[in-house]
Amino acid sequence: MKKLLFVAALGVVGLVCAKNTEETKPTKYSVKNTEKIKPTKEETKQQYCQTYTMVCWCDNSKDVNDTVCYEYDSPSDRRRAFACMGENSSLYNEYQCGSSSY
Amino acid sequence: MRLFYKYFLLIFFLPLHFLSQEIDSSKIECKYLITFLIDTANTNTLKKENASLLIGTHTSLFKSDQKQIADSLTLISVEKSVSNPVNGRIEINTSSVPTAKFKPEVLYSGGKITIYDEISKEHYNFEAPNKIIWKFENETKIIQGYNCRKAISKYGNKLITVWYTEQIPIQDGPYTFKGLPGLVLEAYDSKDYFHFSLMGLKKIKKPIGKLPFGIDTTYEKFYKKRKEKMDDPLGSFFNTFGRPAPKNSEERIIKNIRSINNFLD
Repeated sequence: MKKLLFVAALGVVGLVCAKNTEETKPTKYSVKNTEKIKPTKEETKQQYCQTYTMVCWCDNSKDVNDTVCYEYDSPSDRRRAFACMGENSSLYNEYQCGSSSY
Repeated sequence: MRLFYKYFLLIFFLPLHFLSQEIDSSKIECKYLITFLIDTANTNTLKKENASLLIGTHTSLFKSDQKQIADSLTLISVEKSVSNPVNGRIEINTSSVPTAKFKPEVLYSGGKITIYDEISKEHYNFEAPNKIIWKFENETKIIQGYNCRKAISKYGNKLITVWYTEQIPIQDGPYTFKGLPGLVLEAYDSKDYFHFSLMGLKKIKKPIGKLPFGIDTTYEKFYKKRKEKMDDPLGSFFNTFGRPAPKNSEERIIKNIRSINNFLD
């Protein structure tokens, strides 16, 4: 009986503590070198691909285009795509111009 | 019956104990000023950033305040650019958005120190590499009205000096400088490439926020990855943007990436 109760207790503890084991994977964004300006909708995946220009703050001639794709109906995915656009632009400037404030 | 009661308590209260560890809140928030160089060969690259150390019952988190500010300002800037295209083009210009230069975040939990850091777009977390063995010195000084004592330790190839106060008996401090008989109010390395100074502290209950998703790794692998970027900035450019670096920018890119060379670990 003792053993049975102990095993039951461990089982419950295990179940409760296992609640957060699901790993959240970061959304992957495709980055393409394209000249498209307007967003396009991929019918099958229902994704919008947004082309934008990463402005090179130290040399205008080094501006380049990038594209991020996100699920049109998902505000959180759109938000992540926008964050990705910002991160890409900052990084691009880190490579091209060095640390942005010196 | 007594046995049943014992197991009843075990079943219902032990899980609650684990849950409370997951959602820890701060008891104290310490604000530090970090002064550091980006490029150890160039004193013009000196940066100053504010950082917070949130100390809870089981957990503490040290991170630059600039990071959160930069993330939200970047998002606002991108949203603005997307809704206001210039000649039909969406231009993302991050030059006016302040970026965080002090990247590592340090989580202390369950006796383990974990560092969250990034290389280009990849985020990693690994156990702190250097075990610190503090050597106590006789010197004392007053910082922010607290009597402080000095301790030193080797940290990788650096010599770290800390000033801690036993008047705040919390074994915590900025970055991974913890485990002393009191809170660390000041810390720096012998070349002063990094300097942490306490600016203030207050009792405040704040959730110790979620850390970013990171690839679980070891310090050795992280170090190797960072070295690869420094050794081959053009390869790193290709991996980051999926295209080769423009020919006429190669020299500049190599110089820029190698000028970000001051790491505390």
